This record gives sequence, structure tokens and C-alpha cells, in this order.
Amino acid sequence: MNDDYLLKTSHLFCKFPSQKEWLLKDVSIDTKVGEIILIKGVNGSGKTTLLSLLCGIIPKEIKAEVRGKIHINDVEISDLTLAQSSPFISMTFQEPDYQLSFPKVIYELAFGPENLKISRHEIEDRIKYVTELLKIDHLLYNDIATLSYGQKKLVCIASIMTLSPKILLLDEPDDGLSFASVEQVKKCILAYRNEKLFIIATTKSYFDDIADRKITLS
Amino acid sequence: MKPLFSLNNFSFSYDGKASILDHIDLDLRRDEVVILTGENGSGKSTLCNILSKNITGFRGNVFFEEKDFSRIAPSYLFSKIVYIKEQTQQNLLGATPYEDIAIWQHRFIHKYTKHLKEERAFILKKFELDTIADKPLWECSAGQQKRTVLASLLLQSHKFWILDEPLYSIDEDGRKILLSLLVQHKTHGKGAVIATNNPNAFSIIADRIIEISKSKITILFG
Ligand SMILES: Nc1ncnc2c1ncn2[C@@H]1O[C@H](COP(=O)(O)OP(=O)(O)OP(=O)(O)O)[C@@H](O)[C@H]1O
Ligand SMILES: Nc1ncnc2c1ncn2[C@@H]1O[C@H](COP(=O)(O)OP(=O)(O)OP(=O)(O)O)[C@@H](O)[C@H]1O
Ligand SMILES: [Mg+2]
Ligand SMILES: [Mg+2]
Repeated sequence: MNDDYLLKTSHLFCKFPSQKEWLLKDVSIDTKVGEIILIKGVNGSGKTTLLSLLCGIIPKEIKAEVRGKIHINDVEISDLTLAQSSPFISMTFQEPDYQLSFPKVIYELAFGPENLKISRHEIEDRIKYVTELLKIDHLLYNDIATLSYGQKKLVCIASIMTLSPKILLLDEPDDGLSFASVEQVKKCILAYRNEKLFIIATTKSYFDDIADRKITLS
Repeated sequence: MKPLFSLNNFSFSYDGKASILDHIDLDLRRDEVVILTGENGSGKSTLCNILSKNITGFRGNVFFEEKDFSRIAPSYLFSKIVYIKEQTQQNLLGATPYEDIAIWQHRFIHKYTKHLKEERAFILKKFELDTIADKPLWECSAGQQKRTVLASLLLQSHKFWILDEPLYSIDEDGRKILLSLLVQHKTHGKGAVIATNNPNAFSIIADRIIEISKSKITILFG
């Protein structure tokens, strides 16, 4: 892959085995690094489904009938395993407890980049930078089980930031955050704006002012 | 009116060092809607957990209906209050929205003997769950799961509601449905404590807005 990182879906269709009609119908997205895209829509409209498709969790981990193709540059997502694609495209989950799997915050944040054999020094730099931006640096050695909901949500966001894929899919990142915390998340997104592509699913309007485009599902 | 909950000189700490709440006094009346707000990690959920006996070990005095809180049996407490936890999953009882509501109905079977089916249909429809009534909850979207949890409130109109972040995962339509329930609840002389990061979302029904900050509480409104 070269580093322009164009993400393109053409005529994407998706439905779950129990569904009769297409949940996602003919979704075409054409976007690239440097953009912030919002995915909007009411409860059950398919926002989480779309993000899961983009990063390959559907159909690799969750079964569904899929038509159409998803490309990052000239590579088709379905040709990669999740382990191969996650350094390029990764997602934070709507429910933080489904994402967090380590006892302490610091392990959670170090795991992704350690797996990619990033140098220790670089990992420390990333963790310091991101946790200071999100104002969770005082929680680094806390047990994740004892964090408040919003603190967990911030750790999820921090952990995708330290993994640092080119394309970041954030599922309802504002949910559970105070106004001040949302502002910190926005700052963090803006700090990476030029080098990354953010796709944010949300029912709310907190990110409207920093977004380049909105895609509404119905 | 006598307060339902009364906290006097109340303090709480998880580790015996840092106080989450430090020497606070707070009365909650059974007929008022109190919004509890504050930064992430300020102690909103902690307070909700204390009021519903999920966490013990505080200092100071807590009274429920003017009786010593530590002597109130959980079964009695939960006949008077309902507690909706912050994590959606922890509130779900059934495998489908339909079953979840049916279980809640069953808990009050002595009160609702007739029209169970009609009642269930009404409740599911109110939260727009009728089309997915028989869908396994683990296949439902986060908002659909949360709507199922909130729908159970329709069976608990006789209680005082403790709602920890009821708007998580909920879209604007869902917020309006919840607000209409709260308006009705209040009209019937019933109250609630609502922990939320977004007090504005409840401003039309709030009697008081209380903020937790640096282990203290401040009344922002009311
Ligand atoms: N079991 C625990 N042990 C130790 N500390 C805890 C425990 N539970 C919560 N805390 C800490 O207590 C503080 C208050 O947490 P609480 O969950 O009450 O916050 P909150 O106001 O509900 O936050 P949020 O808006 O993020 O839900 C947080 O700093 C949290 O890290
Ligand atoms: N694994 C699954 N199996 C069957 N149906 C599913 C599955 N996952 C989701 N669905 C259904 O597909 C639809 C879209 O779900 P999705 O989670 O993508 O919605 P969403 O827009 O993210 O909603 P929310 O705002 O509530 O998070 C919903 O009707 C849901 O019930
Ligand atoms: Mg979703
Ligand atoms: Mg909380």
C-alpha cells in the first residue's frame, strides 16, 4: 500500500442471516486520509454494522451476507486477515467493556504498538502524548475494572490512538463523555487530522463542527 | 414532605485515602426530579450505587424514609426504588425485548393479572421495539438494548427511579420518549435521580441540578 490511503466502498450491501431485507443498501463511500467523516442515523440504522464491515469484523467475526467491495488503495479488505488489516484500519467499540481486555490502563495502551514491534521509546512517547491530550495520564497505573464509564471510554480512544492506524473508526465516541472530555477527544482528533482518516458513528451532534462530511443511514 | 433519602455528613472513599464524596449533606424528596451531573470520574455512579446498596462502607449517616439505611432490607428498598445501571447489559433479564418485558411483568404479577399481552405490546410499541420484539438481545443494536431497559420503567411507575446515564446509546427520538415518561412520572407525584453528563437534555423536568466536583456537591439550579 502506498501512503495516500484512499478508502473506497462501491455499492455495498449487507444483511444479517435473520434479516429479510438489506440493512445497508448500496452504500458508496469514497474518502481519504485528511478527512473526518460522520456516520449518522437513528438507533438500529446500521452505523455499527457499517464500521464493522469497513474494518472486516463483518463477515470475518460476525456472519452476514455482504455484497460489494471495500478497498484501501488497491487492496481489498476481504483479502486480509484482521491481524493484517488492523495496523491500517481499526475500530473502537460502542461498549468499552467489549474492547478493554487488560488489567491496567498502561498494558491496554501498550499492547497494540508492542504487537507491531514499535520501539519502546516510541510507545512511551505515544502513550504520554495521547494520555495527556485526553487528560487520563493520572490513570495509567489504575485497574481498568475500577474506572468510571467515561474513563473507560477515554481509554478505548487512547488505545486506538497509540495503535495509530491510518484509518480510525470510532463508534459513538461521545457517548459517556462530559462536555469537557468531548472537547479533549476533539483536540486529539484534530492533532492527527492531516495524517489520518477518521470515521465517526454517532447519533449526537458533538462532532458536527469538526467534520468534513456526513453520511446519514436510514 | 419528608425526604426519601437523607445523607448527613456523608463521606465515601474506595481506598480509604482519596475521598469520592467528602462530608456532604443531601436530601432527596420522593416527588422531585434531581439531575446529578459532574465530570467523568466525579462520583455520580458511585452515589447511585450507594443509594441502591450496591456499594456499602460509607461514613456519616444515611436515612431512607427516616430510618437508618443500613437496617433497610434490600427487598424492601427495591419495592420502593428501581435502579437502572450505567452498563446496559447489567439491566437485561431476558433473551429478547419481549421476554425481558414479560419477566418484569412477572415480578409484579400480583398487580397485573389481566391484559398482560396487551400491556406488553403497548410497552414495546412505546419504545418502537415492536418490530424487533423477538430478536435475540445480543443481536440488537446498543440503542435497541438500551430502549428495552428503559421500557421496563413503564412497569415501575409506582417507584422512585434511580437512572444512571439513561441516554447512553439513545438517539434523539429515544430521548423524547424517555422525557415523556418522566413528565408522566412527575405528574403522578413520583420522582427520580438521574446521573448524566448532559443535564441540558433533562432541563424541562429538572427540579434541581446538582453537580459533583472535587468531592463536594453544588446546587446549580433549584
Ligand atoms: N471500585 C472502585 N475502586 C476504586 N476506584 C473506583 C472504583 N469505582 C470507581 N472508582 C473511581 O471513583 C471515581 C468516581 O467514579 P464514578 O464511576 O462514580 O464516576 P462518574 O461520575 O459516574 O463518571 P462517568 O461520568 O465517567 O460515568 C473515579 O475516579 C473512578 O476511577
Ligand atoms: N449480529 C446481528 N444479527 C442480526 N441482526 C443484527 C446483528 N447486529 C445488528 N443487527 C440488527 O441490524 C440493525 C443495525 O444494527 P447496528 O448495531 O448497526 O445499528 P446502529 O445504527 O449502530 O444502532 P445504535 O444507534 O443503537 O447503536 C439493527 O436493527 C440490529 O438489530
Ligand atoms: Mg451502534
Ligand atoms: Mg458514571
